[in-house]
This record gives sequence, C-alpha cells and structure tokens, in this order.
Amino acid sequence: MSSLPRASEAGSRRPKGYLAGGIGTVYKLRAIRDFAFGLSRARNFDESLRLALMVIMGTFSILKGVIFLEENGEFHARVSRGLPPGILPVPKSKDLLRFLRRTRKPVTVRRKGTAAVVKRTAGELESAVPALSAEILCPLGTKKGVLGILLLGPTLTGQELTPRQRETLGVMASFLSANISNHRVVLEISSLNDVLRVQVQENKRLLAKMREIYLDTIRAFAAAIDAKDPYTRGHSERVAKLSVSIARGLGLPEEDVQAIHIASILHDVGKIVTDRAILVKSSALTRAETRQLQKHPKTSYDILSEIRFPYPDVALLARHHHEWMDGSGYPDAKRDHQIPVGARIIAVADAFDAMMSNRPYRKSLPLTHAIAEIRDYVNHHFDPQVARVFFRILRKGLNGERGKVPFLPKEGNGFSRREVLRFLDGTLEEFP
Amino acid sequence: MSHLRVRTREGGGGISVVYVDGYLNSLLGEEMERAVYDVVDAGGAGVVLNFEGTKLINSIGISFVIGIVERMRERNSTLAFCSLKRINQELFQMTGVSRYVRLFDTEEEALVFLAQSV
Ligand SMILES: [Fe+2]
Repeated sequence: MSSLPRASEAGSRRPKGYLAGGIGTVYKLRAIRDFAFGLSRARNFDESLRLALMVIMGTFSILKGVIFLEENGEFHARVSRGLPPGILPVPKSKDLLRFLRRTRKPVTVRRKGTAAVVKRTAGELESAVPALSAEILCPLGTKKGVLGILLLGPTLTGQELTPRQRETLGVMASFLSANISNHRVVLEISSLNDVLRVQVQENKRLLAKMREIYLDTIRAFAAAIDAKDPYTRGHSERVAKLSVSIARGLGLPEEDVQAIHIASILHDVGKIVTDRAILVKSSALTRAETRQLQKHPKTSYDILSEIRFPYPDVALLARHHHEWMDGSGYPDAKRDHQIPVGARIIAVADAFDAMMSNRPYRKSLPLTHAIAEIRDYVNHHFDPQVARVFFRILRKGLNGERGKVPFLPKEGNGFSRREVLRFLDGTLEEFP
Repeated sequence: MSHLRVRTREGGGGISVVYVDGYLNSLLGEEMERAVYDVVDAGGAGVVLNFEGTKLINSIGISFVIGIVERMRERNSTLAFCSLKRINQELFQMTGVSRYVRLFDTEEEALVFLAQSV
C-alpha cells in the first residue's frame, strides 16, 4: 500500500474527518474493524474463519490463502480461498513444530536471509497445497500453545508486504488466534455442560468463565497494540487493574466497572494507525506528529463503537480518556462532568502508569514525583474525587506488601515505603 | 428479497454488464461473484462491472474483486470496470487492482473497449 502514492495527497479535495489520514489509513482501520466485526458476528466458527481470511486477503491484495488448524495430531485445512479443493493434511513434522513454537510474527518466505527452517516449513506446506506458492507464513497460537498456521500466497502485484503491513497482519493473526482458542474453550465447556446437566451454581461458574474468555480476546487485541510500542508493554493491563480498583473504590455499579475494565484495556487501540516512528520517538514531536498522535482517542472510538460490547459506553470512555477537567484536553475539549466518570478514572490511571514507566524520551519518575504531579493537576486535569480514591488505594497497597499492588513496578523507582507513605498522608490531608 | 442489488444486462456482442448496488461486503460480494461466473459459465465473451451504485467497498469486497480479476485472467475472459466513485477508484489504485483491469468513467466507454478487444 505504502509504495503507491497516497490517494488523498494526489487528489484535489481532501476528505473530511478520519478520512483525512489518507485512504490507506482508513482502509486499514476499516479492515481491522471488519475483522473484529466478522469475528463477533459470524453465525458459526467456520464462517468466522472464512471472513477473517477474506479480510486479511482483501487488506493485502492476496489471491490465495488457507488456514490450517491443529486437529488430532495433524494440521488440517479448515478454510481456504482461491484454491481448488482437496488440500491434504500436513503432518506435525519437527521443522513445522519448531517453527511454530519459535515464531510469533508473520514471516516472508522468499527473501534473502530467510531461515532454513522457514523455507523447509514452507516446502512441507506447499506439498500439501501444490496450487499455492507459499509467500507468507503466519503462526497461529496463544501463550498456551500452537493452534495452527495461516499460509498466504503472493500479492496481486507481486510486491512483498512492507514491514508496516506485516505488523498489521500480525495484529490480525493474534486476534484470529484468540478467536480460535476461545472457540476451543467454548467447545469444551458446552460438551462438559451436556454431560453434567449442570445446576444453577455450575452455570454461574461457566458464565464467569465465559466472561474470562471474552476478556482474553480483548487482552489479545490490547497486547497486539502494546507490542507495537515497546515502551508501553503491559501498560494497558496495569491501567486496567488500577482503573477497576478506582471504579470499585468509588462504589460504581458493577456494569460500569466492567465497561471501565474493557475500555481501560482498549483505550489506546487507536494507536494502531499511529506511525510507529512517532510512538518510539525520543525527541520532541513536531506539530504534525502531535496532531497525528492526538487522533488516537477518536480512532479508538471509531473502532470500538462498531463492536457490540455487553456493557455500556465502552467506546465513549476510550474517546474521552485524554479529556481534562478544565477543558484543555482532546478530542472534544469536554470539561468536568461532561467527561464520563469512567474516562476520568482512566485518565488518572493512564497518567500514573505513564509516569511510572520508562519512555523513549525519559526514564520513569520517582513515585513521590508521580503522586505530586497528579496532586498538582487535580481540578485542572484530574477529578478530585477520583484522585482521592486513587491515593487511598495507593496507600492501602503500600501498607500491605508491595507485590500485592499490581500497578506498582516490582523494582526500581527507588522509593522508600515509609517516605512515600508520609508523603501520601500529607497529600490526602488536602483531600477532605 | 425486495429488490435486486446485483443485476445483469446484455450489453451486446456477448458482453454483459453487471451492476453492483450498495455496500460491497461479504453478502454483496458473493452475489457479485455468482453473477460474473454465471456470465462466464454461459460462454459470455466479457463482463463490465458497473460500480455506479456501489457506495463503499470493504476489505472482504476487495477480496471478491481480486478473486474475480484472477479468475477472469486465468480464463482469458475480458473484464472492465466502470462508473466508480472516487473513493472506490482510489481504493482500486491502492490495492493494485487497477493495474490489471481497465477502469472507465462510463459504461459506454467500457463497452466500446470490450467490443474492440473481444
Ligand atoms: Fe492514550
């Protein structure tokens, strides 16, 4: 995509809204959305795989592709496109397993410097699908293990995928993997259900389990975003834990707490269309770069508003996570109670975790510094009620064992507990 | 269905025009694919895909389009697109589709071109 001139630059009229990011961005954004959409709406598992394969192939203009899934000790072609029927199962060879265990990202086969194991793996797959010349191998799997492999042929133009395109493909593959893995768990659960004729109690447990699975999918998506920005690894997860604690501390209804949980994991999903160079840049951003970066809450909203979450306002919370109490935030310059409480919570958790983490342009800040920063910006940026609950949670955590405060770094930030507690108590006195 | 979103019309000389109306996603894509292959299977000489009524094309739609482009190439059948909205034209440029299919502003131009090349 990027080798061709951007259509909007060549055109005389610039499109409005998020179309202004260039048609490439819109198309990719829409593709990711279609992807989430397809997975959540498909009537059955095979259809979800077929739609996923089509989105991937359409996004990168690829003519032939097949998804192999591990079943009974072999890899079976579960869906394919652009290929004649009769694809043979692929035995689990040593090479194939070694490749799948070692590789997390899509790899291109026909390149100088491609590892021998990749070439051999491609050869094994090609002998099962003679009509396909293997160009891209994309491992499918989760932390728990190997699920299968996505095999793609050449692009329509014969051009190789750019690093950016491979990155997008990797995001889609991890989303696809989460979908496959969830399907397996659901299958296990439903067969279990049949056998046991479970009572209400058991159903409750299963329901809780279903929610866990659902969250796993969401987390997989977030992890894919974190992967793009090495400086924020684990950021979404920590912000989520802290946000949920604050939401509970404020006594919000359980529905809202769940919405905040999901929104806080996915709040930065819009960064998927931000140039990686901007995310890892160590010097000050230019105006244009800042403008691009600041589009991410709106983009998060555009993506998330297409997904039907079982909880209210998830997309809206992501949209407003950079709004500030005095109206100086973005994208809508909302103020005070115009900002949903969930977004006000995420804003504090996000700011705190950002200060506690190393960033390309600075090291992490001392804990007292981070506390003081939030204290100083109460009413300007942060909601005083939210900040107060946050300080209390922090104090509770510090009074217990440090390991029990998931959002505090395990080491570093060189703080003495006593000193910080004293500082926190002082701070809390300012909040009646 | 209350109205057809994919229609086929004889354009003369064994060439058919297939109209694709609406949002080109997986549902419409399947209808479009079937309509084009019906023409080819019936021994038609060529196809003009008229995208005048196509509001948007998503990635699945592109998947169908490139599938058709490839199949037509394999069978040496002639294919042309016409009446694309600007955004869809840009999309075809970006995805490389426009390098393999002639795009025309009007259906008449596309029919004249196909009549000459058949
Ligand atoms: Fe953000």
